[in-house]
Amino acid sequence: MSSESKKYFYVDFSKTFVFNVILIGFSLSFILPFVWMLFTSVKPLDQVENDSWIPLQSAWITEADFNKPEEFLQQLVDHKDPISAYLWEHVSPSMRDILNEAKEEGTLSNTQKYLPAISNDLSAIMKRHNFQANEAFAQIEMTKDMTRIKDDNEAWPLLNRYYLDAYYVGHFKEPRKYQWYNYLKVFENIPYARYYWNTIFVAAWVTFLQVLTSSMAAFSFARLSWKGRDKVFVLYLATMMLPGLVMMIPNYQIMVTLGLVDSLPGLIIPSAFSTFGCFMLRQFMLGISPSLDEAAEIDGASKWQLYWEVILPLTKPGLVTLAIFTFMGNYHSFFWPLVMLRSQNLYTLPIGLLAFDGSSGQETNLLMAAVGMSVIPMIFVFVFFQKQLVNGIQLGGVKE
Amino acid sequence: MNKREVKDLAVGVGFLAPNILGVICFTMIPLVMSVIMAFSDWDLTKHNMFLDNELKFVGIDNFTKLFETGDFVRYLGNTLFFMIGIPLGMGGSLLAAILLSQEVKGSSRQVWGSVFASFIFILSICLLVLLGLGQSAMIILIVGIVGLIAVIGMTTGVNGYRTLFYTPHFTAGVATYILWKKMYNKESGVINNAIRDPLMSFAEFNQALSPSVMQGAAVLLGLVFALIIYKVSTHWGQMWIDGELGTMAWIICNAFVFIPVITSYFWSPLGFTKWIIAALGAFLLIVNFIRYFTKGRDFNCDSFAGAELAIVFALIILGILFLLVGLSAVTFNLPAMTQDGVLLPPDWLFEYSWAKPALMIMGLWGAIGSNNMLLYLAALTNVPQSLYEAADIDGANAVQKFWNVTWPSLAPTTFFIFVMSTIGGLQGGMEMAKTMTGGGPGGATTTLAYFIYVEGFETGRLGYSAAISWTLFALVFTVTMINWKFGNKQGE
Repeated sequence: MSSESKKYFYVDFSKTFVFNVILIGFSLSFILPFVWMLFTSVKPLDQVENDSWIPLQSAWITEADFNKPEEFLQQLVDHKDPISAYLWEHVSPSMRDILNEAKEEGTLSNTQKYLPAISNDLSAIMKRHNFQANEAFAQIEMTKDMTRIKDDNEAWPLLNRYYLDAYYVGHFKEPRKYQWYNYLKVFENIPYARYYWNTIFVAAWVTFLQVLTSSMAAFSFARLSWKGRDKVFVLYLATMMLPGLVMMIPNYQIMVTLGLVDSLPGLIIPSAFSTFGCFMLRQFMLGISPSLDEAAEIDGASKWQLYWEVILPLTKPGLVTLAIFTFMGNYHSFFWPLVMLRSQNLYTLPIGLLAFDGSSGQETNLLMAAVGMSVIPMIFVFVFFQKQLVNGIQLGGVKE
Repeated sequence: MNKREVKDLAVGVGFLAPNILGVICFTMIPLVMSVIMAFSDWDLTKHNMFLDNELKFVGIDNFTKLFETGDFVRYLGNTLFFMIGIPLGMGGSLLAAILLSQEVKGSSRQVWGSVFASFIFILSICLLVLLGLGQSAMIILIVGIVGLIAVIGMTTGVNGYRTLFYTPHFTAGVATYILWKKMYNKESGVINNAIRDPLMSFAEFNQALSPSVMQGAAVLLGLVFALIIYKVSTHWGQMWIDGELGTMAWIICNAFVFIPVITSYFWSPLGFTKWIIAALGAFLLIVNFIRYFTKGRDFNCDSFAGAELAIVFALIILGILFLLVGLSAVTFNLPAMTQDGVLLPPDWLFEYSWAKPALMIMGLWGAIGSNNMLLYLAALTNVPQSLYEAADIDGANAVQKFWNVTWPSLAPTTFFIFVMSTIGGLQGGMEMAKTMTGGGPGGATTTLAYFIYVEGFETGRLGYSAAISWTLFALVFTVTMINWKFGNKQGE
């Protein structure tokens, strides 16, 4: 390698390097909230406030602690952390007095004296919670004997592990590290499948109706000539400028009059007619050669056949783009469902999530599981239609 | 009208019918109703199925009430405050687009090498940061994620990064708002968990420091603030002299930059800094006026020439200046805040002074990798390569190339994004407020859209609510007209 090309190698190398660092850094900041969401969703409830993102088997005992029974006793007597507090509750009153005394006297470090005594109490806790594994139970009995006999340094780690398991058994019936069960629990706590169905149902219907009516209107504006067409089109354009907020309240009154409040058709019908879609598809249809119309006319095709068999297939990219945008927009739609829906059975996902946050906002793990599941369809849409989506956005911007 | 024309009309209207019926029912009729409502005292507590009071027309009372109570002005202020995030987000989008549009040149060995090197680099930073916290599991986790991103970047190139950037946007909505609400939680939120320890050690460090150091830093930030204003206003002055910027455009731009000066005058913590700021403002004004209006201009141009780009630029500067003002205010108060050696993370969403910045940070997170970034990406590929080559021949460096080639070439896109974001921003904030803060604390995060929702659907004052929505429409309409005036000129 000559010195010149070596120099370029390093210039290119450092440039690529710097760009990659920045890009990775950016990506990290966009992705980390979702990662946190994922990890929180599989935590047990008592760990959602932890600093650690990863659910831990025990909140405070590490490998190092296993060999420090003194500290365990100290923590038990202080019972500040949830596990110790729980265990402390189940230690017999006489034992508590003994330990408290020992604390005052400063003789807690004499573990040989106290540990075997509490072991009895703690294994009683496990019995109370129907600790099912007999094998484990046999082992703990054995460990207890070992503790009684001589060196507690070996037995203590095992003992610790089983006490903690007992703790989890009592609370969650699932002594696992990652609580994937949380995802099922969401379906148990709220009619989540129902929310899913409602959302997809509404979004699909709106998308279908909007694409149909918009493409028909666009066909009329772009490929047919009739008196007053351009004036009506200007009127159409003018309505695009009106903010939806202005129409929201009267629309609600109309829905009250029609008796469609708190029903899914009440969500579908007002959203099914879009001037934006009509405008977008008209632009698309104007780009198709007019000679096709003449050819169709010579072949004796009706206007409907021209629309359905000639123009629509040629407008397919536009239709797909409009469909994706409409679907995504309605999937996330919030304001209108919020004012329209009353009964929980009809909630769409955003409203359902809002209600879930309101009713059990403390259960962050379940909430995060629900939130995580709600974005899955969007990820599918994005993965499968990424190209159309990106093209659609860029087309819309450049056209202006 | 002959027979054929009638037939054509029938067919045309026939195709239009499904859509136009819907538009009439759900746009035109509501529109008329809304106008009528805005002038009536329609109130659900007075007019409902049990209580049939007669609907009264109250003229413009609703509108006068709007301004008398001061609610409208206050919530408009909130809305505008949130909109400071727009230029910052646009800057971020542009930066992201430029990064993504860079072709990774060189042989594949170089690419792989540099990706690997950057992976190691970020990994080591993560290690350094996290080693201090002593959480071995977290280190592995973060390193794993960085590795995953690096692998995606390696295998898919710019496309992979683009998808990652775009993720916050296509999942946007109530889901991400709830996610951020949990992240902002005072006790258990990930943000506070992450900054709690660093803040404590910072407080200890700060306590050991003499207060004058931090106050000095605040003054330094103030100097940067002044320097930026000076640089920018002389830049525009030169453009005005050269006939690149019209008089009106010049005035508008300077007015924007003076908003932070006025704000910082009111926010200023000490009496004398107040006067320094006032003197600085007056000095700049006078110097500018003397310099330009005595000397005159070399070339004349249309009063609004160059306005689009300069205004967007002014707004980006406005955002940065506000950031500086906020930062220096915080820095100045730090010694007092850390007196006890304790600095607790804020309760982001429920403290008056933090709620707005918290929501803006979340907005920025979603806005950087949004559609705007894709628009910029498309626009960047359309910039003629020959311009860059010409700049290369002239010996321009990267910064000069950006300001003289890229930025002017992107002007139409920038303006389009800006107008669209402004229209969206004026009507925005409702979902955020409803999901995250309930408009609080003390109305700090109530935007106009949420105000309309609350008045219309929670307190039931439909007439009043309609009046607000029409006032909002007037604002949106003004922005649309500005777009029309400048946007059309752009197209020619």
